[in-house]
This record gives sequence, structure tokens and C-alpha cells, in this order.
Amino acid sequence: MTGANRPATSAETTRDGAVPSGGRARNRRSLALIVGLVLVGAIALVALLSIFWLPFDPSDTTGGRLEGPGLAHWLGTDRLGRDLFTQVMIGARIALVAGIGAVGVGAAIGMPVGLSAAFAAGWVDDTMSAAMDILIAFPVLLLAMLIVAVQGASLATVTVAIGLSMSAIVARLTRVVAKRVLAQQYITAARTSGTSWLSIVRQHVLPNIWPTVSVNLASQFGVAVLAEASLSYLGLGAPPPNSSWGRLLQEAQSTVVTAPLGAVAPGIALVALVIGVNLLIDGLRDIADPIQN
Amino acid sequence: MNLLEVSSLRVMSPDGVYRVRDVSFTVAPGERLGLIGESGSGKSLTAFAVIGLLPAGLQATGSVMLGGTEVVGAPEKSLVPMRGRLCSFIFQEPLTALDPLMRLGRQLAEPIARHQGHRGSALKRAVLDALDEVHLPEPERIANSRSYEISGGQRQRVAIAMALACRPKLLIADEPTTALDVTVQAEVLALLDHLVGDRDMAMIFVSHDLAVVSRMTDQALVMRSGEAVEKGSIPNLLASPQHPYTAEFAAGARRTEAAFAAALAQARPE
Amino acid sequence: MTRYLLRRMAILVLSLLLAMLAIFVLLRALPGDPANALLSVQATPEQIAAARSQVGADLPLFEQFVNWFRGMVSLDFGNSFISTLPVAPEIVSRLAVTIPLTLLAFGLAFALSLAVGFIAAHKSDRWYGVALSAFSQLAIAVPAFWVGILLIATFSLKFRIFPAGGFPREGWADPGAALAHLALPVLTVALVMTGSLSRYVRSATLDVLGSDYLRNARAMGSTMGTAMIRHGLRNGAIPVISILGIELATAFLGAVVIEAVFALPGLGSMLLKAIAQHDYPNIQGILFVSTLAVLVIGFVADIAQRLVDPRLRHSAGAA
Repeated sequence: MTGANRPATSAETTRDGAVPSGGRARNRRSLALIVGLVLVGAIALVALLSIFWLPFDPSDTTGGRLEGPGLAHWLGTDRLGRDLFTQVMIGARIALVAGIGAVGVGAAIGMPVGLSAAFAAGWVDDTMSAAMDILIAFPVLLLAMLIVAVQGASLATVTVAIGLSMSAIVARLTRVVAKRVLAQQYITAARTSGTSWLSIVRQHVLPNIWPTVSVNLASQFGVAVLAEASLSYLGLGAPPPNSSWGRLLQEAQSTVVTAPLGAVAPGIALVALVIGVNLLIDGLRDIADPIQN
Repeated sequence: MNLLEVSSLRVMSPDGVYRVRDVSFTVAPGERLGLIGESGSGKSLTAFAVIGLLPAGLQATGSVMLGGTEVVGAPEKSLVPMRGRLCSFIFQEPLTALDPLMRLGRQLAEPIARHQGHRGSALKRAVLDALDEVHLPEPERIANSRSYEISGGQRQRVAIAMALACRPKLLIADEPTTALDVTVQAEVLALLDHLVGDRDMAMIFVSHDLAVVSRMTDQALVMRSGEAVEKGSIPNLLASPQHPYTAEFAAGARRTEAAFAAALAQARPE
Repeated sequence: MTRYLLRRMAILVLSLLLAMLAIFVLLRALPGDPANALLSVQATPEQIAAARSQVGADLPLFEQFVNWFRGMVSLDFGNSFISTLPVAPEIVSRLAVTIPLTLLAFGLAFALSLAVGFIAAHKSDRWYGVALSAFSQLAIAVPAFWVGILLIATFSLKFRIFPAGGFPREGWADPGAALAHLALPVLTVALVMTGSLSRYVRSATLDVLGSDYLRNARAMGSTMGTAMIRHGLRNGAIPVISILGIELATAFLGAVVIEAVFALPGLGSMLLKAIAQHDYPNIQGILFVSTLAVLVIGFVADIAQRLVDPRLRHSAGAA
């Protein structure tokens, strides 16, 4: 529908070149970039820090139950007396690991599959596409739930499960973009000059599909983080004391009125991370993927 | 009284760049003016500004008096009655100018009903007549078709029919044949020339092709980077250009004129 | 068109059959003996064998599938391993919660998205247009369950307007009470759905606003409003319809989390429990119903698209 192949409208032909050029759009993108960088950077720093230092031991329940924010416990304590700030810090680490891990798994499986499908033709290609479509239609949560039910709840399981569900989307996109690249003339030229398929993939296909695919992967990060949060909320994620933000929210739900911070802080952290990543992608759009515009 | 008076027209894009700078010209009833320039010269934007349909984000300043009414800065409701009735427009790419989902007969019926007041079977008759006027064979089939089901030349004829259905006094044609094949171009231009002449309409013809403009108009305004470079009759612009840019343009025109003549010769046996 | 309809329905049935096969195989492929769920940890081999035969797990796989398939066709979904209650009636009673929830949320989200998306596109230079655009950005970054928790905190616990969760025992016998219990869940799902749906509406509106056919209509003397309705509506609907089907299906399947938040006795919570207990008949039954729902939604969306966009009617293949 919208894409590079439709005839240009008058509005577009009167402008030189592609899309929202213009100071206002550029400013908005720089703002998005900065805010995104700040949000993601802050969370990443906290996550990194959590490996070396935590204000309290996560299983320390001496804090007194459901205390409000104060000097000792910056965000208060949860219903078992554990320090909330510590838990949120750990949650940052888990969210990032889950997000990056799931995207990594999705890419590691999806890209090779998508590339093979791009080279395949005829019924092999059709079958692979159909399989991808079916897998995409199967909801992330359902598949993850089934896998976790079998393997038990842990961060690794959840990460792999989410990554598996995502691989179908990555595979489909890779296939579409790779096919487009393979149809280009410079590929034919490389073939006629005797370059092997392996070199072609390395030198021509991969660099050209990377901009579009990487943007997609980045946007999947947010989806992965939210999926992990949902699974943890349902009790299928990493068990305490290494709780993810989703798990923290589930535990805090019963005391949301008496101790609201427990139900608000992890949620805000989640939103901040996902919005931060989305803003980063928006802000980097020109650099990352000129084709998409 | 001039049909159109443009004074010091400026069009600014959202990033603060002036795409049209201080352009002024007039068009009298029945007069034809060409707007010539390369892409980016601001000629199309000038055309859009005349009818008050600049793309979103572009701001016009200065003055455009169309039929005695100011267009620049005017509220939409004062512009609507003028469009079509006083001044009409033909776009460059008929494929995008026509609604892809709607049958062409219905699209054509809209301006006809609005400006000629027909209804029911009289409207249907008028639609077929309009298609006939632009020399489209099988007008019924065309009326039942959608834009992507017919050829480019046929599409542009339908667009011309729509523009003329309004019986405007001034017709603005923005590169109407640029998107068409060369052989078809000649036919469509001949049609346009004939129809505009028949109704004594004034016309602004926008193009980057001096040869085409010379075929359609007597006077032309040469534009470059948003500014009006030179204005005069076509023979003068070709023979004794005052500005070096006009000279470059004329030289380019002569080269294509030869090719054009060859295409015309091919198109003639009908 | 009728030929396409028949072909499409055939594909629907075929997909359903394939899905059933896939569901069956997938569940059997999972480790974890179903019989384990019925017994305590220290069961003797004879007890295990007896449980398995009771449950039918000792028959060859093919026979199990045929039995199940035959049952499904006659609308007998078998009995739960755990409760030994028939699966189908429980699914039906659960659907009485999940379907209204999904449809109401979808309807609300649709209406909101049209407004939000259109205004965000048309008035992108005004503050409220920008604000609505920002709202969409926010809504897709927020976890649905958190929205639910916050809504409960505000409207149930703080202000006591709606119940905090659960569903009346009598079901829909008292529609007022039932709706009151669904109000917050519906709002939760609708808000999150509006986030993504409104972005599509906004994008479609921007396309229409920048289109040549709109300017052409205006150049012929049409007002903006008339042109938008005559041309913009149908053209803009096309990309939106294609996403509507996906969103509705997602909402239906994503009910799992929302039902957990609000303790609703819907299909999602039944599935969660069944998975934890390895209750194969329940899992199969629910997955079948979900798959059927998704396939039917996709079918309807496909037909709707073809009706709206005549260009598609000429293409031979399914999208």
C-alpha cells in the first residue's frame, strides 16, 4: 500500500528527494533521540550497576513490611520486607537480558531461515512462507506458556520461548527483503563474474538487508520486554528473589492501595524502557534505515 | 480585467526555505501562459498556489487575485466556489489523481452534477458526452472502468474531461503529458489545444519541456530556483534570450524538438 | 467472487484440520506424562498403567487422534483429565465471558482509534493532535496488565465504582452486574488496543490527506469534508481493515493475561490452569476453539477487504 513502488503524488514530486525533510521533523527526531538515549541509558546503567552493587541483599526481609519510601529504603519495602529499590534494579537487569536475549534468539534462528527461504523457490518457498505465517499467527504468549509449562519457569526458558516466537517474524521479514536484494542487477553481475553464493551473501545480501532487519529487531526488543513482563506476571518467569518487573507487579497487586509504590515503580520502569527504545529507533531512523522511508 | 493577477508570490516550506520567490505575472481572459523550468524551479508550486491547494506545510504570502478574489490566506469556504467554476486543474499523474476505487463515470459525474446541475439520466448522458468530447472511444466502457483498467493516455483524457466539465474560465495544466508515452503526448496535447481554443479558456501550462510549451502557448515565464527569470513570447525567448539561463533552456529545447517532430510524424497516420 | 468465497472456505477448513493435527502432535510431543497429573508422586507402575488406560493414553497415537477427531466433529470434546468433567460445556460457559469481553473491547477500541487517529493526523499542527499522537506512542509501550492494576486501584478500590474482579456466579442472568464486572477489563483492553490501532488510522488518514485524488476532487470544487467522505473513507479503510482482523484475533488470544488480572472465569484462565496441569483434553479443546476463532476472523477480514477494494478481486491468489 504505502511503499516504494507506487507512482509519486504531486505533493511528493514537487519536493526534492524523499520524506520529511524540513527542520521541524529533524528537530523532533533529535529530541526523540536524546530522550530515548537518556531513558535507555539510565536503565542500562542501573542494570549494569546491579551486577556489582545493590543497596540491600535481595532476600533480606528485615525491612519491615510495606514501608513507604524513606532514607533507609528509597522506594520502600514489599509485603515480605524486601527492599523495593533493590528489586527494581534487579528487574532492570532481567528486562535487558530477556529483551536482548529474545531478540538474539529470534535473529539467530529467524535470519538464517529467512535467508534460506529467500534462496528457495517454488513449493519449498511457499511451504516455508506458510509455516512462518502460521507461527506468526500463533500468539507469543501461548507458545511461551506451553514451553515454560514443560521446562519450568526460569529466565532462560522465557527468553528462549519469546525468541522462538519472534523468529518467525524475523524470518518473514528477512525473506522479503533478501528476495528484493537478490532480484537486483548487481547480484546478477556478481554471479556472472564468478562470485560464489557465500561471498555474495556476505558482501551484498547481508549489508543490504541489515538496515531494515535491524530496525525490525530493535522494535522487537520492546515487544520482548513486555512479553517477559506478562509471563512473569502470570508466574511463568524467573522466580524471586530475582524477580522481573512483571513479577513485582503481580506481588504488589494485592496491596496496591496501601502501598502504591510497589505497583507503580516497576510499571513506570517498564514503560520507560520500552518508550525509550522506541524513541531511539525513531531518532535513529535516518541513519539506520533510509529505505524504509 | 485580468482573470488572474499574481503579485510577489512567495511560498515557504516548513524548514524555512523559499520555494517560490517574488513571482508576479498576469493572465487575461483567453490568454495562454507557459510556466517553464526544471524540477525544483517552483513552477508546480506556483500553479498550486493559484488555486489555493498547496501541499500541507507550505505557506504562501503575497497576492493572488483570481477573478477579483484574493486567494492567498483566504478561508477555505471562499475558495471552494471558485474552484472548478472559475479555475480548474489537471494533474501530472492521472493514476494518482483519480480515485482508484471509484468507477470513472461516477468520478466524472461529481463535477458535472455540481457545475452543470444535471441529475439522473440527464447526468448519465452528460457524462458520456463529456467522455466523447475528449475523443474517448467506447465511452460507456470507460465510464464503467476504474482508473487502473485503462491506458495512461485514456486516463489523462478522463482527467481533462473532469477539469473541463466545470466549464472553467482558467485551466491550469501541471505537466499533463509528462507521464505519458511520447506518441500519446502529441495526441493529448492536440486535444487540449483544440478544446481550450474552442471554449476561449485561459490556460496556464506548466512544463519542463520548452518544445511542448511552445506548441501550446504564445507567452512563457521561465522559472529557476523559485524565481521568475524571464518572461516573453516564445519566439523571443528562443531567438533572443535575455538571460543566460533562458539560453541554456532554448538550446535544450532545440535538441528535443527534433525528436518531438519525429514522434509527431509517427502519430499522424490515424 | 463466489468462486473465491468457496476457495477461501475450503482453505479455512483445510487450515483447521492442519491446525488440529498440529495441536495434537505438539501436545504429545511435550514431555510430561498426562497420567502423572492424576496421581501422587509415589504411584506404583500398575497404578500408572491403570491411569493411562483410563485416560486413553495407552492407545496408539493415531487411534487417539481419530477418536479425538471423531469426537470433535460430533461436538464432544472429551473429558478433562483432572476433573473428568466434559470439556465442551465448560468451554462454552467460559466463552460467555471471553467473547463479550473481546467484542466490547474491540468495539470501544475501534471507535476510539478512529477519533484519535483521525485527529492526530488531521490536526498534527495543533497541541491536541500532538498529544493524541503521543498517547498512541505511550499506549503501545504499556503492559496491559499494569493498566488493569492501575484501573482497579483507581476505580474499584479508591472510588468504588466498579468491582475489582471476578464475575457473577449467575453469569448473564443479571446483565447489569455482568457488565459492571466487565467494565474495567474492557476498558483495559480497549486502551491498549487503541494505541496500536490508532496509529494505523493515523497513517491511513495521512495518506488520504496527502493524496492526489483528494486534491483533484477539491480542485474540481469539492469541499474538504465532501471529498474526504466520498473518496477518503473507502481508500483509507483499506489498510485499516487488514489490521482489524489481526487486532481482534490478538485481543481474543491475549485475554489470558487480562483474565488473570481481573480473576475472570474466561477461556484464558482455563487454558492457564490446563497447561499447568497437563490437562490435554482441555488444552486441545481450547486451542481448537481459539484457532477456529482466529481463522474465522481472518476469513471475514479477507472477504471484507475484497469487498472494499475492487483491485483485489482481480488477483487470483490469497493475499
